Amino acid sequence: MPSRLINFRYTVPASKGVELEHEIKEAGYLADGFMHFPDGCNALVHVRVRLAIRGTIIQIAPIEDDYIALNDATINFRIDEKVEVKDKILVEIINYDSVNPHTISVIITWSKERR
Amino acid sequence: MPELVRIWSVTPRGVGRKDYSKAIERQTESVVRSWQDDYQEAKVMLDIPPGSSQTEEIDIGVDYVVLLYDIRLVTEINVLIGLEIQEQTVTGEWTTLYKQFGYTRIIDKISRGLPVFRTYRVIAYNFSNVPIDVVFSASGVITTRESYELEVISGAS
Repeated sequence: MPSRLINFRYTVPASKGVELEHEIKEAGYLADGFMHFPDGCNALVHVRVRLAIRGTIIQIAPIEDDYIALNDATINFRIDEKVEVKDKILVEIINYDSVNPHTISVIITWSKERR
Repeated sequence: MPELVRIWSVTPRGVGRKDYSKAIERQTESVVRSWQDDYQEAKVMLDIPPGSSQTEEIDIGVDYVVLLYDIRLVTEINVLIGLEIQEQTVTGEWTTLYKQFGYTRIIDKISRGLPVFRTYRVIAYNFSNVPIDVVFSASGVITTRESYELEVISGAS
């Protein structure tokens, strides 16, 4: 079963927030995802993942209008959403650390068929 | 590849560490480990005339030291008040350790503790044009002079 890893990796400068976007090129399913917080973040870097599906934005990690902030941790989350061409994955990373930049990785797995 | 579509500034909430740096943290112990006990003091100062002050002397004993962590001076009406804490030196002079002003109340937390020896003076100022009553209260720990010098002074060096 063909699958691809969509890599959102970004070094966010101190006291900045960023939003990364990936447009789906081929219809399929988003199976699951990972996010990694390096040691040093001290729960000051907040991350959320949203999908823009047919124009509607839904938040998938975490639920509701919230963020995940950890230190030296990798978590995986189940998505299980059908996506079409031009749907978007939106990853928001906010670095509340006043001094240090932090590199956060979010990886989303796309597959042709539902797993 | 994902694209950066938005970047904005945020108000920082703290300081982390450089990614994957080692956590080297230094800790100092402000708590005296030898004999110590809770210290509480409260004084009511009644009818302080307008534009004047009232002084209370609080004796804590020759061989004792008090570390004040919480200090408050409260009155009932919204007027400017002042609080001064003085300590007596070995030569008998009074020196100011703490001075603060505020409307209605002065509430202060001194995280490292304000050390006072033997006797200290509390001076409440009334900057209004009416007489006021105030309540001074303080809490902290009391220890012996010997413990203080052994644990706090030599421990901090």
